[in-house]
Amino acid sequence: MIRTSPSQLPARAGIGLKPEHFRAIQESWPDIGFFEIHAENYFVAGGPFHRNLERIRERYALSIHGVGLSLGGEAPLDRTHLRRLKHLLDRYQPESFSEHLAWSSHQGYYLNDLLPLPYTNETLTRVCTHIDQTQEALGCRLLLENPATYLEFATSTWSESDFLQEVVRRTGCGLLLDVNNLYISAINHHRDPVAMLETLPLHAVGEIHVAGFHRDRDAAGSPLLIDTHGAAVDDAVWTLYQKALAHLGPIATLLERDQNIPPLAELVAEAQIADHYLSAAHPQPANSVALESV
Amino acid sequence: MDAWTDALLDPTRPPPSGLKTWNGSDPLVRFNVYRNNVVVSLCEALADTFPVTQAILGQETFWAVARAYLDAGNLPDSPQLVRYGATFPAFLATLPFVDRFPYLPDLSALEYAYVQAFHAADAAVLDPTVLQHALTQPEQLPNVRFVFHPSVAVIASRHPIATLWHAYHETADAIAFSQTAASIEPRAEPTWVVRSEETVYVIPVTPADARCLAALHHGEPLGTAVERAAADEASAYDPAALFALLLRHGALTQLILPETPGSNPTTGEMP
Repeated sequence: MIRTSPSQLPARAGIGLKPEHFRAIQESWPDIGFFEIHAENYFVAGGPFHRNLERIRERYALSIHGVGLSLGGEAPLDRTHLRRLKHLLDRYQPESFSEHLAWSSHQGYYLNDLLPLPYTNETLTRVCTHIDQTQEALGCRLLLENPATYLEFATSTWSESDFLQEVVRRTGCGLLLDVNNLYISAINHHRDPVAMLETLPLHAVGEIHVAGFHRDRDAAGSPLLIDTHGAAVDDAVWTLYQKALAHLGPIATLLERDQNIPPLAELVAEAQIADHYLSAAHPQPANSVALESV
Repeated sequence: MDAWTDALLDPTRPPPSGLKTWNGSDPLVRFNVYRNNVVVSLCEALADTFPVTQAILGQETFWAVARAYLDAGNLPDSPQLVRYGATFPAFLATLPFVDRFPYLPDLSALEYAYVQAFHAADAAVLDPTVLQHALTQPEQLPNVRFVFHPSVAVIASRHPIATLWHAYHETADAIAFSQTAASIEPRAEPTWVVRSEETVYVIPVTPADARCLAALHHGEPLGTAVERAAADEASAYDPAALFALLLRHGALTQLILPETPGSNPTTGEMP
């Protein structure tokens, strides 16, 4: 498989950088492959967030993960937001930048959730235009994260996998494979997670996310999984993750935790599970497909 | 997205049309996951910025108020949630129960100022020798102005907001705190905030110091600021104690000397 990913992250497990852990990180310097920050939390002018990030950045690889650009939004991209992102990327020179296949802003309001999109030609054109504009403004390629969804649209004419394949083909962006989101969406829409995995643009994966979810039920009593980032990673997600690694070889993997944040040592221990699977994964020769195709 | 946005924010509306579920189940339950994400995360953002306000109102009332704030159309205009809630203190002031907590709007304004101070730009503090030098030219002092650290904010409150703020942050016990809040003596407690290193300080000052500080912070010259401070005072006002506080907390970043015939006003070069 030829890797075309824009990510330079090491093929190890990383964790989200939480202000609750600033001190513990700088007291213990845990053996972690990288840290990931949410870009918007660091749009602030100064103060402790930047001071701590600067010190931590000196010692670790960094992934900057945007949660509020609203790439799928109907409105034009927010130029101020892009400028702030550019400033942040220039300042910290991250090994990877990623965003979501979702919308979160409309009518000048920010709704603070990753909302779903109908997979239509119209959406495809809009998302690709916004990704082109973002990559142009930032001067780098981004990784696009597959969403966790609870509903589908009657108007969709593309499957999510085909839609993502086409976005990657048209824009040259990479894929942030969120295995938790993939599993959640598969269960919520009654699909086979492994089949969904295999139809994604795996050649473009530059980073993987794993996280915990919450089990609920829909109106008919069928399982409805909710992406909470508030619990340990489910066994089913670890299993799907191993299947992904079998296709991909070792790839930078973020353990996401944004709710009920445990002590640092507990997160590091959970990340070591990913590191264990990563070290067992066989590297995929970068040029094997290229040689075969000659 | 118009229909989605409207339905997300108004629980009395049905979900938007065109939604599909694999088993034909009512999409409302699934749509409510998104509704819940939006409303809960925004109320949580407010609770993060206004913890003392929440402790005083109690969680249930605070969340009802936060929800009412959203329903009144007060949504964030950007993903920078640390900025969200700038109008929350003014919104609290319009609620009927504020009679029972007259200090609440000012207290929440202090909480908002604290968060802004925490994330404000960094700036090099004033070299004390610059101030010492200015003191050797007392005739110029009334015309001297100061530039403040970007974290500085002044809340000219007539309520004991600093005492309440410290009581919350220094009392581990929620019941003990609510007793303090319930029995607090009414008194004017103008308060300012400043970040020094990685800590934001919440500092009450006398009404005279507050008037002087507010005037200086607005860019007025020292002479005018002292006059404002002295306005309601029986005795002469001495800003020495205020300046000791400002210097100790690194609140000043620049001293601007008045223009003199020897100086170049275009470059601001000092004589």
